Amino acid sequence: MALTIILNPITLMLLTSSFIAILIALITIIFKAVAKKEGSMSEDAIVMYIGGEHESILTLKFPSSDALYWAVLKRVFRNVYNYLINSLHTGNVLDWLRYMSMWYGFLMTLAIMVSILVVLYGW
Amino acid sequence: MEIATMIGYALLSLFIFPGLAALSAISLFTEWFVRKSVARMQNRMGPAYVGPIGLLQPFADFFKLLLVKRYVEQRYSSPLLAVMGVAIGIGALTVTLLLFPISPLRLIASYDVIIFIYLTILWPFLSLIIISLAWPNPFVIAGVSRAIALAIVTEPTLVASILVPMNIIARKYSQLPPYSVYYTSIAVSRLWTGININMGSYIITLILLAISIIASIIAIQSKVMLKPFDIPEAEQELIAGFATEFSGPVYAFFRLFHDMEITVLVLAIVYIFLGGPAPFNHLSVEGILTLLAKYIVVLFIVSLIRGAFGRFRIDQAINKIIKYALIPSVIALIISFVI
Repeated sequence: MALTIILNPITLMLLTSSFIAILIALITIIFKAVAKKEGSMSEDAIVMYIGGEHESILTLKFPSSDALYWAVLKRVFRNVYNYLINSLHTGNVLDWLRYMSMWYGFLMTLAIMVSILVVLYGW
Repeated sequence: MEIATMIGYALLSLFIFPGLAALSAISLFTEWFVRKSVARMQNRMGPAYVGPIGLLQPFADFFKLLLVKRYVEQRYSSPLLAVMGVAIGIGALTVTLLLFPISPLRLIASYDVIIFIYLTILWPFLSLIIISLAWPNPFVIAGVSRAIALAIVTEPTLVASILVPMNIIARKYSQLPPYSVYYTSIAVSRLWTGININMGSYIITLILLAISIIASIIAIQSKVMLKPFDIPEAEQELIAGFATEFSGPVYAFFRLFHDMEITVLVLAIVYIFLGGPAPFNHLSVEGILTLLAKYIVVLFIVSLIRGAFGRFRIDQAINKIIKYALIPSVIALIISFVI
């Protein structure tokens, strides 16, 4: 009854992507066939809706999407952020060096361990 | 197998069942169910006029927006880009169903969970951003930046929680292709019934599955932006957030896409965690009823959360997702590697 096909992941990825392409074409055609556009373009219709304000309000200072995004993340991860700032920016260059060498040391140890495991047991 | 038969199966699965036609119908039913149940919880009527107990209201809304209403352009808008964005999302969600046992054409591969993530988590999110930015507006930008901030915790939670049952099954049943959505859906019921598993391992498995189901429901709530995570849309606060300027047919397709996202994610929970129609099979009355019952139960939990909560602030929402969903699901995933 059902048709089961076992593929390798790359073929499956290509197959599903081509199916998506077919559906994109179909939906775009349906939209083009049935959608009606607003006929007369009045002045109200062509400006964006900014709560009734004129578009010139956008020349004022306005937080960018990046700023909004980072504001949220900084607020959520404030403890982590404060820890990093306090441990890095103490004004003492030795603190900075200690912090960086700690991380580089960790990464170096990890790399050496992985290399040894790969040499001993293969990939 | 003849090539014509395969094409026939592909066309049937893509366009009829469980493809575009059936998925659209189920999605609109899902919208009705969520609207009606939330309305009853809030002592309102909900959809009532079109069809029996308002069942056809979402269909009426869809066709009215699509065929009767017109879309309004503004100076910077790009309707075709918006429709392409919606089409990518709808296409990806429709094709996802071919990975599940519900489809007549079942596509299986080892590690096809990566394709599941690509189709259900990556593309719908990108298409949401494409659709929104096709109608630029300050409210849209604020909504999209909130959606991206929320996605940073939502998507890893969803992936981690889905990997838990897959990982357990890959380790316990090494003869099956690992991390396959199809085989996980078939085999997960054995984890619940505890066949061939000792008692200690069985209890730990149940706890892990329970944690990952809760985490995935929270992640879905956040991914489809239902309360308390409707922060990117934030009605009244941001007008309608990323959906501020949608109108007519573009809005019709967008609503359908949103409903499909809820449907496919709930179906994913029903199959990957609860085993679909298990212990029956698909082509039996008991199987279909079991599948329907599981779908309705999960959908009701989603509606219940939506009805019970008010909107969180964005940082509260991210903190809560980290605390109650991301950390438990990651711990469950790590434990599933150890047991």
